[in-house]
Amino acid sequence: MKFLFFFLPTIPATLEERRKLRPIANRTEYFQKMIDEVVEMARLAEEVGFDAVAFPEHHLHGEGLEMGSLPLLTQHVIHNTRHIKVGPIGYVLPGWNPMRLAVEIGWLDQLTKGRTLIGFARGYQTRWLNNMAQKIHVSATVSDKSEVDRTNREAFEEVYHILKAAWGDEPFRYKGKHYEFPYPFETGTPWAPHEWTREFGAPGELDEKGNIRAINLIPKPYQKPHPPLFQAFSISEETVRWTARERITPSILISEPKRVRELAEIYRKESAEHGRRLNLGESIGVLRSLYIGENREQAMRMAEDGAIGVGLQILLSLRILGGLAVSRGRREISGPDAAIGGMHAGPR
Amino acid sequence: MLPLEECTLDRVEKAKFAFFGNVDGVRKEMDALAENVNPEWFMWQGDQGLLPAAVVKNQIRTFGEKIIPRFK
Repeated sequence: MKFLFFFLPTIPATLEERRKLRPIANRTEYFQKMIDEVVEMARLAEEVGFDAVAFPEHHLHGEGLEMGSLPLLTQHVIHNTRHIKVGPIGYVLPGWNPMRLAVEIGWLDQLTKGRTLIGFARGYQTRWLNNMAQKIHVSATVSDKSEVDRTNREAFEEVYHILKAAWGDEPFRYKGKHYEFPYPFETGTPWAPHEWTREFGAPGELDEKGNIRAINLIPKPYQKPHPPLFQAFSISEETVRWTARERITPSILISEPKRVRELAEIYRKESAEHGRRLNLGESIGVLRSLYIGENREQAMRMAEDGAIGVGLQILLSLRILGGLAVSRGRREISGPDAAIGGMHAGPR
Repeated sequence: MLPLEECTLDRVEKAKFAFFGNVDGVRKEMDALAENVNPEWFMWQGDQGLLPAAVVKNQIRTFGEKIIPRFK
């Protein structure tokens, strides 16, 4: 088993300090303290045997919770540790221009000589995603099969397919609903120094008139064909099947043991049907929260003040627990709507 | 939408999303998870910033030294 420490970069402060110094994340001394602590935790995780550290991607949290994660934070942590993998789980794809993200990841993986991992997410927080994805008219989603949810998934898959194409060795062309590469797709991108490119650039990059007809992304990732891929945070069978087909490690948020087993079997079966024979559990991630104390009561007290305790309250205010989380009344917890997560738990 | 009063740590624990206990208790839950699906990756949703750093570090060290070796 490999171990990944997943945490939400958070300004270190009590709730009282957050109230008194609001918005605490505006304060550089606190922001710096957070950066230092993130590195300290990552170093310790590495020292005691973890294989990876990961963060979610969120922005605009003036309250000081869930800061980052951008390629820059990943790079900073990698450069302050020795060998563990580091990365976001995950990049919220509808919020990124796919070519920009492919370039950022390529650089990150080259600069760190293959120490990053890549997670993908669809995004459930409106405050930042609706603003960042405004030009493609995509909003945050709670996986409720609504029109908003459908559009979000469409943009997610488009960005994902462009990333995969961009990381390949051949120049790529893509025409989707939200993006087209090259731009404009039909006529190509004008490129004055085309003779130079014709001689030294990638074969197939130019058309006969000297316009760019396909994109050759630079740099390619250091890891081939690309860094390890993860999906944040999987709750549906549909998602698990998709990750199996795409050779992505799902981070399973479902917690009821019988259902987890079923999803693991589905992943293995779907993988086999697509040419990859795996043992049960291979290529699967399971996300859990845990607190270790002298006894259960002490552990529970830590949990109340920690990420899961605060996270549960925030999840409620985000109104996503109904779809994700705990069963009601006496009904047993099972099925695709039966997982419980922390506040980062953007469903797919 | 769940009523607020139903959204508790007890429920989280009962649903096996969270493990609360001493080293032996948490190890037992990890054993059960390994027995059930043996996931290639165990992803611990940990802390930073809400609890004091010393407390979090102690959690990471304890898990790393007393639980990880059993599953490596």
